[in-house]
Amino acid sequence: MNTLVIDTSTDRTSCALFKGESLIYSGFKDGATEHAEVLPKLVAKALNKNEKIDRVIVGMGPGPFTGLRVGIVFAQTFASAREIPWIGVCSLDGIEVAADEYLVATDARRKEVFWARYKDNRRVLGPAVGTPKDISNSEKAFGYGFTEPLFPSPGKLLEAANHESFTSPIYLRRPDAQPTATRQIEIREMAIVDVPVLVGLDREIFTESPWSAAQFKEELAGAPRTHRYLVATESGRIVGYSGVAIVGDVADIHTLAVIPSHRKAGLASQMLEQLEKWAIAKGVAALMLEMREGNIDAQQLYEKRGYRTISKRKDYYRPGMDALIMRKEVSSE
Amino acid sequence: MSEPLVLGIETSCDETSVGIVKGRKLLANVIASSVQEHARFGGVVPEVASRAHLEAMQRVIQRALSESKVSLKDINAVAVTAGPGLIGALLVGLSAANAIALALDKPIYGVNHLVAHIAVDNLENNAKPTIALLVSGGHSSILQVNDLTEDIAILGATIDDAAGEAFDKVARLLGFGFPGGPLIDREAMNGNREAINFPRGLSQASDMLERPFDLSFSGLKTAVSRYLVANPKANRNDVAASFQEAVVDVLLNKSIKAAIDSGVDSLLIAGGVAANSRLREVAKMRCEKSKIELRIPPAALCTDNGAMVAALGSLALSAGKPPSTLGLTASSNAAANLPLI
Repeated sequence: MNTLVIDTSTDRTSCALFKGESLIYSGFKDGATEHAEVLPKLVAKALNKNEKIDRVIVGMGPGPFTGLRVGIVFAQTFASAREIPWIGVCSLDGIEVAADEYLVATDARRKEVFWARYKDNRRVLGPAVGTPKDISNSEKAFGYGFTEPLFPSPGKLLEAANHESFTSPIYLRRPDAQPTATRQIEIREMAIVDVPVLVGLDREIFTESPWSAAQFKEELAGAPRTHRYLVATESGRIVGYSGVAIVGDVADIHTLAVIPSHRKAGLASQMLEQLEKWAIAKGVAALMLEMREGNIDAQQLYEKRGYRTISKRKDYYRPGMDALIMRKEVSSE
Repeated sequence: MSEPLVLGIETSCDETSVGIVKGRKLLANVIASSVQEHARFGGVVPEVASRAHLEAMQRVIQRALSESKVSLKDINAVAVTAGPGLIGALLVGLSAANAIALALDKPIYGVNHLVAHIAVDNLENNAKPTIALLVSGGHSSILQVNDLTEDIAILGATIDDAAGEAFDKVARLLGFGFPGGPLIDREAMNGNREAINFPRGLSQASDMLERPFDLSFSGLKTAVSRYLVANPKANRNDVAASFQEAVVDVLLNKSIKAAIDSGVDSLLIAGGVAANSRLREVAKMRCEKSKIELRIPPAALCTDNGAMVAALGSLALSAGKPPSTLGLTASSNAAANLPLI
């Protein structure tokens, strides 16, 4: 049985050919970014020794991802093309250490190591990734981060195929990527330059009684002493705004708006929460607001945040449009 | 060799694809895309793409073989994208191709991804000298193609964003999601493309004298962004349609000018953005008007695929070009005037 053995889980690209358990070819080259160029050349040399291959063994890692994948895809594709089986092994299982009980490690970059612990020729812990400090301070640790770097050897990889096999790459780390929130919204203090945009938005959202530019500016003039106004933006575009003003020991929510396309995502609550925190820190005893009766969504939002209707003003906005006055006591939080 | 059987492998970005051609006849084109996994990141994440390529490779190869009813032993050559592209992704395809070449003693052709996009037209039409407008997510250039395997000149290229990149960025501004091209294409159908006159990059009189075939899209993207801030209640379909119109206008204006100025009278449009319906519509109108022969591959062959790689490999083999060396290097930023790597 002729076995081709490949490993690219470390900086070293290695390839060997066994006839039974006799080594008839072994070649390797060190170079962290050279696996893809080196491996085919080593395999060509192995095939020169003997064309006939009966199976392929490949180290499945752990190891730095790009190089690791070179060996794995090569082995899988070669085996498939030759219609022979392939076996994946843990690359760390292929590292020879002259001891009965030991830990062996290879470079995982970022000051960490891939490691596994062995006893009586069996892996008992790992493979895992971590910093050398956190893993071991015993003198029975070998390889990168502990002694000189060690590399899988063909004979040990061959033997490892008799123990445990793996069908997927052993990555141990997730790809470095943070999913963006479906919406990346930023909340910042409102500025004078925002006013023209806000006037436009207010006209659309509060069609009955929108604020003028002068009204927005007057509110902003009270910041930061007695007034605080926020805008929520997405890629620089205003999608919501809100503001509060303190008179005596009561804070009045003067406005709270979110454009239709961005509603029902908790944005109004977020702005309200920030304003409430600011007002409470300023020492108010209660928060109040007026809202148009019939605006169910707004009423639910406020009730959820602890506001209760304390009175109603008939025809407040215009004949037929009443206002609900709502209040939340600070101490009841 | 008159009708070589060639298997082509493409893994330069987020599509794992294998195509099989016999001469100029397409036998199979199988694509596994990881685009959905990238959508939640807002763009292609190289490590996610590379892992996906490894996972998909064997089944994509097998499926292409069974669809074309050939076996790997029968092929005359394997072709593979060697660049440009994401290096970790490219290496997966390259290593698979090297394995096939070694396992079955077949020649390997490393090809240029950009040239492959143009070469896919060869599956439908005879090759002939042409101006090529190559527009995709990562590239935008205007080329003079005299011989696909050895004679390509770059007349102009983008100095900032690629056209496809502009689509992705504007789609993000409009809240449409990723990838942006198909989404803007769709939304623009319900929009007024004359609503807003967005800038056409590098199209001033002085630009057309000094750098007539260079492209620029980042000013257009900024203009869209500013427009949205100043007009928050703007109709998004109108903005999409007007943006798209600006891109289409400048791409065709410059590439048709290249066809006329060079006396070549033939325009080939290729790359992912060539799938855009408005680009195809306006190209047809303007080329008819200017009496220029227009060729655009079917939309399914415009985005990244293995068939285009196999097509270029087949051309190279038929032209007697020497194969690449074993263990050929990936070239993450290969230029379009280097067809074989």
